[in-house]
Amino acid sequence: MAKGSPFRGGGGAGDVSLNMTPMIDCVFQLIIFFVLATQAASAALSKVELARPHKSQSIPSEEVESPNRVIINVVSKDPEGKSADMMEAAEADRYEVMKERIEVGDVEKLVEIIQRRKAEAVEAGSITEKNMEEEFFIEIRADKRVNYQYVAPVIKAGVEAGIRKMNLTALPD
Amino acid sequence: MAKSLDRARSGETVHYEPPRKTRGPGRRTIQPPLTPMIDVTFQLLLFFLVACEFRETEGLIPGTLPIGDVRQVIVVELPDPIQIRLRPSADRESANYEVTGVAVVITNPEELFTELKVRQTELQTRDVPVVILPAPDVPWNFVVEAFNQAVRAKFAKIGFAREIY
Repeated sequence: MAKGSPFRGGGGAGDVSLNMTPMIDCVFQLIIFFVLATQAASAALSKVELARPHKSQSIPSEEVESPNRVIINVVSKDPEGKSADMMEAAEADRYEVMKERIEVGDVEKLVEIIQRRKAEAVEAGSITEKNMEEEFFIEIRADKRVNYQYVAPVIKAGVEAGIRKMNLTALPD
Repeated sequence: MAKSLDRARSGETVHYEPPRKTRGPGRRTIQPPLTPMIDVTFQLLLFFLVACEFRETEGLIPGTLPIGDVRQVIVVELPDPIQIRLRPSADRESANYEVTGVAVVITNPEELFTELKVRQTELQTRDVPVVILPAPDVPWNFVVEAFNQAVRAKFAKIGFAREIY
């Protein structure tokens, strides 16, 4: 009878087995890579195409990471850039603040949200009435293809809500 | 077998030993069950492969918002603010930057920066306000570009016109 036959019985000296070690090594390497590289999807960041200005002066957002900010996304009608019509991308579909959808041009609603967030920050103790102007800010995260007329109401809302600091989101050079 | 014969020849009683015993422990090794671990590992790998989305690192260009009407405030404080008017080109691929006091229309961000830098050197202050007045149909990309060049030229007061012209 051939060596390694299943009918040989005994201690199974001739058992055929796959060498699993290199495969497990590779799989673990891959998992570690994905765990480190994956960024948890943030509710504050909508799908938008950001501007990359020439010699960008943008500072890494990690440096300004603060709970005292309101990120206002201006989402294009063509967020994926699939439409052949250039003018479709130039129109804003909605504003988004933490997945809350706001109609384009609804300044009142934006002001209400900013005020609410400001009040929450004061209540939580992260800002005071005194340092509010310096510590609380809005972040405009608009799609680069959208016309200025759709972003202007966001700026207006910031002014009406009494905000002094405003950051524009852009990609580094 | 040879060992048993030797022992028999020397007068020792030799008992029967089954072949299973004579073979010894063999090559049998203790191995923990790997199947569940591999299953879970593959599940994890699949999850990360599907869920992973690579995104570019974002940055922020800091700025300030005006109090009330920008133009009013500027007119009262300083008579000569630098205004940058923005108009899109016909194909929307570029923009025209019209800087007050400059006869030529600027189309290039680097040229805009140079012009702003020259102005700042002439005025010898960073506090001259720079007001960006974009046309309603200018893509936001070029508004950010103008803002960025003003920040790059080290102007301290950069703002937008509140009303669209």
